[in-house]
Amino acid sequence: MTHLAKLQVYLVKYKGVKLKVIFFTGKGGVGKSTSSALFAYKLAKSGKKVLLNSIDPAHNLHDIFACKLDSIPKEVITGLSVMETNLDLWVKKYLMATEKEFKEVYKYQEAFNLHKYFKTLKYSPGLEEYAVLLALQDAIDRYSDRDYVIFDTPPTALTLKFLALPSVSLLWLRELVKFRQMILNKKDIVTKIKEGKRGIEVEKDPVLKRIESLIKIYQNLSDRFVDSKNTKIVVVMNPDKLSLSESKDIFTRVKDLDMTISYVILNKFTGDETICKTLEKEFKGTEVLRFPKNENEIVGVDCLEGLDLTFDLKRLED
Amino acid sequence: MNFKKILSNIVEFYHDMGTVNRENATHILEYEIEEIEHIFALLLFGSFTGMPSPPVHITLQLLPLMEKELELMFTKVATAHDALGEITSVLGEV
Repeated sequence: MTHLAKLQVYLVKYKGVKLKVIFFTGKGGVGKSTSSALFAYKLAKSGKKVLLNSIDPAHNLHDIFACKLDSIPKEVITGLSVMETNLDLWVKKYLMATEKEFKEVYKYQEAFNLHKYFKTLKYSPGLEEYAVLLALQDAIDRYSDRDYVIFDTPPTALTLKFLALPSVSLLWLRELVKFRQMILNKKDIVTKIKEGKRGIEVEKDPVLKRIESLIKIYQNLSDRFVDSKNTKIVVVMNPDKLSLSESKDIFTRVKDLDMTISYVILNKFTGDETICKTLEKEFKGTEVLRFPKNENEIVGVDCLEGLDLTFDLKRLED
Repeated sequence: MNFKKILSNIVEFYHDMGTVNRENATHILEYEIEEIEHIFALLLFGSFTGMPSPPVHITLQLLPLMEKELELMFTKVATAHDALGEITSVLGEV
């Protein structure tokens, strides 16, 4: 099955699934992995089935859970499985599938020398965020029996690009569909004059069909991302100016995409309420959760047990 | 030559006349379609020729279906230096 077909199957499944997806995002080093691990741990302890998936190429979860992790989920406590996704592998898998489909269809690809182009495609801008999307699809597809899938995301830039991917793709696809329709309408006139039939060009055009199916896929994804009941975005930050500035940027960019930030986690909170007031002013309507500064390193499940979440997890159901 | 044969030749003659007229009527339109298809291909696969292009995953998903357009795009590269010649050849056939 091609990646496109898999994506379509997944979206049908995804629509009916009640599973909640949480993205932890923020500047590098603010404690996204620790916060996501704590949330995942406490949710599992409360009886939920949780998958914690790191899609950050610089994985940290294996350090936090003090065990070896890979792209197969490992159950660390009852109800909590943890995995670290290899994004490079997703890019490679995707390119191989496309190349295979391409070779099956094209007769002249050797003459075009396009096979050489495929070797360099893995460095193309945009493929990494698409790999994140495929990894997300796969995680939800495989583990739809869980109550929560929590993603520990890469630092801001890639996450924002990934979240913007459906709407950016839709912009392009809507223009392409208009363009294609124009070509097909003209072709239709020619067919009408020559063969006396109308409408067959539009019906038989595979490119238009594929563009339309892509529009459906990205529209569904975009709808899913803006659905704040089932998809939550949590911004993690520290009480410093750089972190605040980047969080404000995330806020604006996410708002531009019609998505909402569900919570802001103020990690390494020292008790200074001035910054909290600034945050409440800047991020009006979004609750700020305070995670106190921890002097000790968080390594191992026991350390997570010792930490207090100060948050009623039932509220994630809202 | 019997009457049936003459009649069939007349029918064939009118049929061919119709085909030629239809060919003439659609020739410029077909050329225009070819040009728009070329632009459509360039828009999608511009990165092959150094132009900005849509997100790579869109390009790759449409690539396997666009053999004809891609072939056209490469043919256009070969004829690009003689655009005037190409236009006059199209107009000359009308």
